[in-house]
Formats: sequence, structure tokens, C-alpha cells
Amino acid sequence: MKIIVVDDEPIIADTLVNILEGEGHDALAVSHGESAIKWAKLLIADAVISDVIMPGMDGIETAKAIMKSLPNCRIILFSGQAASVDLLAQARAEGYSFEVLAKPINPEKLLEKLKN
Amino acid sequence: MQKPQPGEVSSEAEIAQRRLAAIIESSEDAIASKDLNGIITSWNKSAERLFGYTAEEIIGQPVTLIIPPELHDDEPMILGKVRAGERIEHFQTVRIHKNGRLIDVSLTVSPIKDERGNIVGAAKIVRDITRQKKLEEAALRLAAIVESSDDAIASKDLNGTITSWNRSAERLFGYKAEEIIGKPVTVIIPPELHQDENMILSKIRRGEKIEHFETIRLHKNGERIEVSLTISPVKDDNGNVIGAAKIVRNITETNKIERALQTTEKLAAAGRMAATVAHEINNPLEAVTNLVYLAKRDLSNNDRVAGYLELAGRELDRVAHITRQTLGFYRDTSSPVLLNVAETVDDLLLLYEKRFESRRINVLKRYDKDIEITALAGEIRQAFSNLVTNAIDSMPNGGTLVVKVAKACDWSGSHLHGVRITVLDTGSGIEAKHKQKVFQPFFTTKTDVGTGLGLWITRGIVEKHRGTIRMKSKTGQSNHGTAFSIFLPAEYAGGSPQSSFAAGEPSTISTRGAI
Repeated sequence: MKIIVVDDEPIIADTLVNILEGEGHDALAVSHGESAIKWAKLLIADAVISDVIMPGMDGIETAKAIMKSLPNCRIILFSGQAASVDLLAQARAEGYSFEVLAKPINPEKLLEKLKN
Repeated sequence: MQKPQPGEVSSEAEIAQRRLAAIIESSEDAIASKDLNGIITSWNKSAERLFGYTAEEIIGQPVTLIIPPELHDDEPMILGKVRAGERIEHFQTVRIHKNGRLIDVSLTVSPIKDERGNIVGAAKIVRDITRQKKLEEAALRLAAIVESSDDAIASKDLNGTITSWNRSAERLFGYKAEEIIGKPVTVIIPPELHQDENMILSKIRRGEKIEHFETIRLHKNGERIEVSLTISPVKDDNGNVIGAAKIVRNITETNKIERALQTTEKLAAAGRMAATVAHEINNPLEAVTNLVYLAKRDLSNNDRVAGYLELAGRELDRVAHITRQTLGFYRDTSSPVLLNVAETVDDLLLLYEKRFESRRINVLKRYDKDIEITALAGEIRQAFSNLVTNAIDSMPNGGTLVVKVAKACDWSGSHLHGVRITVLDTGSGIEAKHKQKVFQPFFTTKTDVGTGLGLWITRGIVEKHRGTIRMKSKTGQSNHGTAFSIFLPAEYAGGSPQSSFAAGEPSTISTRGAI
């Protein structure tokens, strides 16, 4: 699978990419919503794993933009902050429903999830 | 009787009579006389003032003129007694002034005899007791108010001897009025505060009032009571201070509540801070979890290090578990929904089936299956699951878990209809010394896995739904266990969903994918 990992903390994005590559995925780490959208379109990503609270474009805006151009791309949001709940509630009010995981994600479980 | 001639010396009898006449005329009491037919025969100055009739006007008139019509029957009774030679003393009744006003009077009626001892009439002394009556009534009214006051009211003289003691004072201090009146007030003052009494008395002597003086007093049983005192000087008619009146309010409970509130607020603030910190921990925790995973993956041929990393991974899972589970990582921001309580509860119990099996816990379910309430589903699940996990932890060697869902009405009297969910275990029970603390944040007996936030969060959720939570626990040898009982009103009337951080499933908000 071609997967884009978005997190403003590079250590998180990089380690996740490393984990995904170890399972044979083709993964790319980026640290902004804008570059996530650019690379997802360019590579025609199968999945995007994105943090929610980031400086600049947040994970939900990023996800909405990607869904528009790549309706078949799977989007998984993950967050460590309670503030993301308000953003998600807002998105839900607009009719968007996202798959959301709480940080820290157990890597085995994430890999399992991607198989389904 | 012969008229005294000018220049003639009056007889002693005459002098005595004139003296009497002068006394009668100048008496403060109204004095009148009547014959046995009830016709007025004399009438002094005070009678004129009291009844408004002059002597000329009324002499020769029937006495019934000054008796209210409904009391006319009294007159034959009075005359009858007089005829029998009896004296009537301090007979309290009502008479009428010339202008129609009623006057409260006290009558003393004596028979008048002629030289031969025959009764020929009656002399009446009439005292106006209207003012006295009013004072008496006012005093009685005051006494009733004092007696029924919720505040303890007592008085003392300037020597500090107790002179009165109302019912609330009896209740507050445990002394009966009859056992404490006459005793020094220092009986109810703790020894170390005895000098305060001198200060109070000297202020009172100067005529000063003491308001809301907060201090300590002693109950008969030795217990210390926190009180607020208001002490006013009592003055006699001439304005001299003769004692002090005290109003004592028990503020023990108020102070206790205030202190408890402060403690709760402090603890709640600390709880909120812990929750915030836990959230901040999640990002570094994510990084470390990934690094440990990678280290393990990329390690070859070093079983020992692999073992360490395995352990490190497990410890990280535990940290993650604690921050998520009890701090309820995701707040439930959904709107309140109509949910079937029995189904919600039953779905949750499914999650714990493995643990029930491995612990040999027998689960009894008693559901009223049709109850529906409007509530924040995620939060209700969190609240209920906290109770179930506590119950499981309390029965490490097996036991019985009873889960009841039943229709209910609010205990506290708001008469809200709703549901009662009861979770009962047969664990060892909660020790008496811990009972007060189980709902406080950071209170836990499970030092290995507990954060001490579970019940605190549960209570927060229940209260947010305008519900109540109760606990009963027994620690007897054969009869032991704990029952938590939650009442939730049928309609959601609680706070905004965003206002809480506790709730929801730990891992996902929405299970629907975005594909």
C-alpha cells in the first residue's frame, strides 16, 4: 500500500514510516497538511495516517481535501490531545466521519487495522 | 348627719371622712359606687378620665352604661355576690368608654354596709389594664418567638450567670433549661477561652453589642461546637445594663461544608491537571512505543535485549492503558441520544466476559428491558464500566456480580423519573475509613493499577446527567460486598457535552471508515 504519514513531530512520522516499510508498505513521512495533500495526489496514495492537531492546516482539513481528490483513499486520524475532539465534532456536524485512533497506537494493532 | 357649723370644730368622724374623700378623689384608680339596683351613686376624677363621663352625667345612671352588651349578664352575678357580702378581687373584664372604645380593666368590688351592717351598695375600684395587657401579650409573643427560634437564645446577668435558655439552646448544648439556669456561663465555654468572657462582659457593661463573633463553645458531652455569637445588652426601664441576651448560631456544619468544598475543589483542580498532563504524555509515548517496536524488530541474535524490549513494550502498554482508561481519553462530544439501558449495559458486560470466566465470577442480570433514557451514551458506558471493573478487581478469588436495571424515581425528592443501575459485588467490601473517600480523585486501594480517578469520573458523569450515585458496603466475615447504585433521569438535562473530559471508548470515536 502507498501510505502517507503526517505528523508535525518528525520522530513520530519517521518511526511510523519505518514500521510500515518493515511490513512491505510504501510509506512517506511529511510534517504538514499541505505537503500531505500534494504527495497523496502525486502518488495516488491508498491510505493517509494523519495527526489531528498540527500547526497550519489541521488533520481534518487535510483529510477533507484528500477525500475530495481521492475518494478511495483510506484516512486514519490519530491524536494525543483532547482538543482534537472539538475539531472532530465540528467535522461530524458537517457530515464527515473519520476513523480516529488515540495516541499512543500499538504498532501491531495499526498494522492489523491496515490489513482490514 | 349634721352639717358642721362655721367655727365649730369638726368631729373626728367628719375629719376621717373628708380624708377618705380626698384620697378617693385623688386616687389613680377609678373608684365608683353603686346601689344594689346597679345605679351609680359616686364617681371619682379617675373614673371620669377612664370612662369619659363626668360625675354629674353618670350618677343616677345604671352601671350597665359602661358594660358591653354581651357582658350585661355579669352584672347580676356581681350584684349577687355583693349582696351575699362577698368581695370580688381583680376581676379582669372589659368596660366601655363613653366614646365606645373598649377598655381592659381589673375590678375590685366590695360591699358597702350601713351602720346596722346591712349591705346597701358596692364600691368599685377599676384599674385600667389595657397597657399592662398589651405588654403581657407582647411578652408572651416574644417568649413564643424566642422559644421556637432555630437559633439558641439565652440570657445572662452581669456576673455571667445564665438567666434564660430556650429550646434550641437545649438542643445545641445538651443542657435542659432547668439544669443550666443559675449556672455560670463558663460551663459552656472551653477553658482556654474563659478570658473571652471577661471581654464580652466588659463590652456589654459599656452597652456595646457584639455581632457575629465566631468562637467555640462546649456541648454537655464535651464536644466542641463552632458558633457565631450575637450578644446585646439588656437594659432596665432606666437604661441601666442589667444583663446580656445572646443569640448562638451553630456554624459547625457550615464550616465543615465550606472546608469540604475547598478540599473537593482543590482535588478536582488537581484531577483536571493530571488529565491534561496525561494528554501531553501521549505524543512522546507514541514516539517511544514506535522506537521500542523498531528496536525489537531490528535486533538480531540478542535474546536478552529482545527480552528487555519486550518488557519495555509491555510497560508502555500499561502506561497507555492507564492514561486512556481512567482519564477517558476521548470526551464524548456527541449529543444525548435515546438509549435502551439494559441493552447498553449488556453490551458492555460482553466486553468483560473473558475476565468473568478467568476469575470465576458468576454474573446475575436482572433487567427491566424496556427502559429508555436520553443520555450521552459514551459517558454512560464509561461510568458503568468503571463500576464493573472495580467490582471485578474486588473479587480476585471469584464471586458474584449482580447487575440490576430498574425503573426508579429520584431519592432526593425532585421526583424525576428515570432508571436505577445497580452493580453489586461479593468482594471484601470497603472499609469504613475509606467510605468517605472513594469518590475523591486519586483515592485508590489498587496501588498497582489504579489511578484513583475511576469513581471520581463516574460521579462526575452521573452528576452531569443530573443523576445521583450511592454506595453501600459491608465488610463482615460472612456478609461482605459493595453495591453502587446510579440513578439517571429519563430526560437529559445535564451540562454541555463539551464540558467534560471523561468518557467514551478509549480507542475510537467513530468506527465507520472514511472510505
